[in-house]
Amino acid sequence: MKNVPKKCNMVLDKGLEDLPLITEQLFQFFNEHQNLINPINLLIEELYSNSIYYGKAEKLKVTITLELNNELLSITYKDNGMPYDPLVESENPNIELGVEERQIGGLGIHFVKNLTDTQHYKRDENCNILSLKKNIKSG
Amino acid sequence: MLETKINLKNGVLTIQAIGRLDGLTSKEFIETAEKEISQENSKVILNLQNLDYISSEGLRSVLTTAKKTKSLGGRLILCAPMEGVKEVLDISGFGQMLGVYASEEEALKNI
Repeated sequence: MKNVPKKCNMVLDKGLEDLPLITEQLFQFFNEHQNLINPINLLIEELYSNSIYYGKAEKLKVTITLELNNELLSITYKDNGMPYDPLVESENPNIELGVEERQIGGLGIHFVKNLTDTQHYKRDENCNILSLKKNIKSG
Repeated sequence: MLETKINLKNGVLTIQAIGRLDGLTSKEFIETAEKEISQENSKVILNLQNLDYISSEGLRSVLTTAKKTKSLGGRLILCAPMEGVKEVLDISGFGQMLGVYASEEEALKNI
């Protein structure tokens, strides 16, 4: 039997207080793929934190679309912050440093790249739009 | 939501983090941990067996706490992470940096 594509939209504008809401929605959306809840929660939190702390939007609004079609998960993350391509502008963090030297910067995007298969950025209508795709195993 | 359980035994401080260590709870974790850590109690085992989720903000709070123990001559090590948390520790290099043990008993032997 062919799976019916599944879609979900989230609008975030309250800052970190939105985090529990994100988790709740992911639990509903991935009821048949529970192993995806945490990784997708992680990448959304990382992107949203970047928008909150560095986006400098007067009134931040983030729209996230999740689409599950057979074995492909597509995530579109759109924010109205200042132009920022996280894929180009972030350096890979040095993950081999010791406790004293270690910094956290860049880790969020490192996660996003590790947890998805393709990443694409564009600036459109005064928004940053990040399109991510992830192949998932059925079952 | 995050809950912490603290236990001090033979000079080793065990902190059990239960729930979610994320952008909402990381500050609370640092505050709780810093209250307990001192010159005398600077060897810390962070037990992750009931931690469902950790993000980079959560890792930041663990790093802050680890730096504090180090500055007092101690250290912080991790034990018993669930699969999802373990994956985050692997991708970030945190597991390798701090040391991850399978159980609290194993961690106690190695601190």
